[in-house]
Amino acid sequence: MSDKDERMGDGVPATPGGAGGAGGAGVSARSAADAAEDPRLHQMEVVVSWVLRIGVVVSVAIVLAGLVLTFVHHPNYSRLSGGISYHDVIGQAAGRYPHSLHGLVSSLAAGEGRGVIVLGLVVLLATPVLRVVVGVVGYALERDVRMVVATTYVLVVLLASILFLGR
Amino acid sequence: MTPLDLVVLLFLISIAAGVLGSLIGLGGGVVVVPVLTLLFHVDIRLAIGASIVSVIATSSGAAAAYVRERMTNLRAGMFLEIATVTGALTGAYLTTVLPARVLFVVFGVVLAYSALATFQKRHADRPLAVSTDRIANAMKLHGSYFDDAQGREVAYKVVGTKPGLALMYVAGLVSALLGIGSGALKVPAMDLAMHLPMKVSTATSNFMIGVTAAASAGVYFARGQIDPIIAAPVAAGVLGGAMLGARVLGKMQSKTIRLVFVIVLVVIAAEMLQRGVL
Repeated sequence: MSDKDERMGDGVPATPGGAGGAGGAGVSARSAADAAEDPRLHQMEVVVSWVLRIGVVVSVAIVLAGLVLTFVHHPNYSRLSGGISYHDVIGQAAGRYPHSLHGLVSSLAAGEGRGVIVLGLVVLLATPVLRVVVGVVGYALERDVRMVVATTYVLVVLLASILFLGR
Repeated sequence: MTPLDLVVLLFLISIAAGVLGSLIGLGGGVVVVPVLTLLFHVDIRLAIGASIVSVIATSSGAAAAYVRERMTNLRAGMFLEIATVTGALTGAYLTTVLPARVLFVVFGVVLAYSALATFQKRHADRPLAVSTDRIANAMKLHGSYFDDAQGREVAYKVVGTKPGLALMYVAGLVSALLGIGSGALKVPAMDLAMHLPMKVSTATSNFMIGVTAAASAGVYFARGQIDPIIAAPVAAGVLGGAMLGARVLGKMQSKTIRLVFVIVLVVIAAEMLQRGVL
C-alpha cells in the first residue's frame, strides 16, 4: 500500500513542468509527502479538477458556436451603418430566447443560435453539480461517512434549488 | 452600438473580470454587474443573470487549477457548502420581494464591511498551529498548501467553524438575492473567522461560489434573466481570464491579495451605495 502511495506521489508533480529550479523541487517534495499521507484525497483532487476542466471547455465551445450562429442568422446585428442597437435585441421580450427546458428544446429544434448558447450555459451550470456528485462518490469510496452526509446534503439542496425553484 | 460591439466589448471586459475574480475569489460578477448597469445601461435584472453565469464560469475555470495545485481546501469547501446552499435556497424565496434600490444599499453595506474587516487584518500572515475547534477537528478541515511566494509548504489549522458556517449561510442568501457578492463574504468568512491563509481562502471561495451560484441559477433562468446575447461573451471571457489569473495567485504575496481585495470592495461598495441612495 505504501509502495503504491510513493509511486502516485511521483506521478503527480509532472504537471507543473518539473524543469528543475527551486519551485519544481518544492512541488515534487510536497506532493510525495502528501500522497503518502492520504493518496485518495489527492486522487479526488485530480478527478475534481478534470471534471471542472472538461465542463468548462465543452460549455464554452457550445456557447461560442451558438454566438456565431446567432450573428450568421441575424446580419443586422453586426451591420455598422443601418444596423440596430443592442438595446433592441436584449432583455424585454423574454420570449426571444428560451428560459425553460421546453423552450430550449424547441429553440434547438428550430436551429436558433440563442438556443445553442443556452445549451452551453446549461452545461456550464451542470459542471458544479457534477463536481458535487464527484465529492459524494469520492468520500463514499474513502468511507468518510461524515463527508458523505455533508456532500449528499449539498447535492440534494442544490438539485432542489435548481429543479423546484427554477420553474 | 450594434449587438456585435456589445459582444466584443463585454468579452474583453469579462477577461479582466475573470483575472481579478480568480485572484480574490469573487467570481467576476463584482465587475460584470456595474459594467452592464452603469456603462451599458442594461436592466439590473439582466445584469444579475449575467453575473450568475460569470460566477459559475470563474469558479469552474479557476478551481480547475487551484484544486489540482492543492491551493483549494477541498474538505473545508465541500463542508461549508452545507451553509451556502441552504442560504441560497432561502434567498431564492425572498428575491422577488425586494426592490433593486434596496438590493444596492444592502450590497454596498455588505461590501464596505468586508473591506474594513479585511483591511484591519492585512498584515496577518501566520497560520494557526493548533485548533480546539471541535467541528474542524471532527471533519478534518485542516490542511496545507505550497506557497510559491514563500517557497515552502504552509500547514494551517482551522478554527471558528460556527461563525464560518453562519457567514457562509449569509453568503448564500446574498448570492441568491443579488446574484453577486457571495465571494465577498466567503473570503472574509474563511480569512477572518476561520483563519485559513488568504490564498487558500480565495482559492476555496473560488471553488465554492460555483455551487452557490448554480443553486440560484435555475431561478434566474426560469425568470428569463439570463439573456444569451449578454451571457455568451461574459461566460467565454471570464473563463479565459480565470484560467489566466489562476496561474498567478501562488506567486503573489498574501498582503497584496488582501489589498487588491479591499480596493475592489471599496470601489464597488461606493458605486452600489451611490446607486441605491441617489
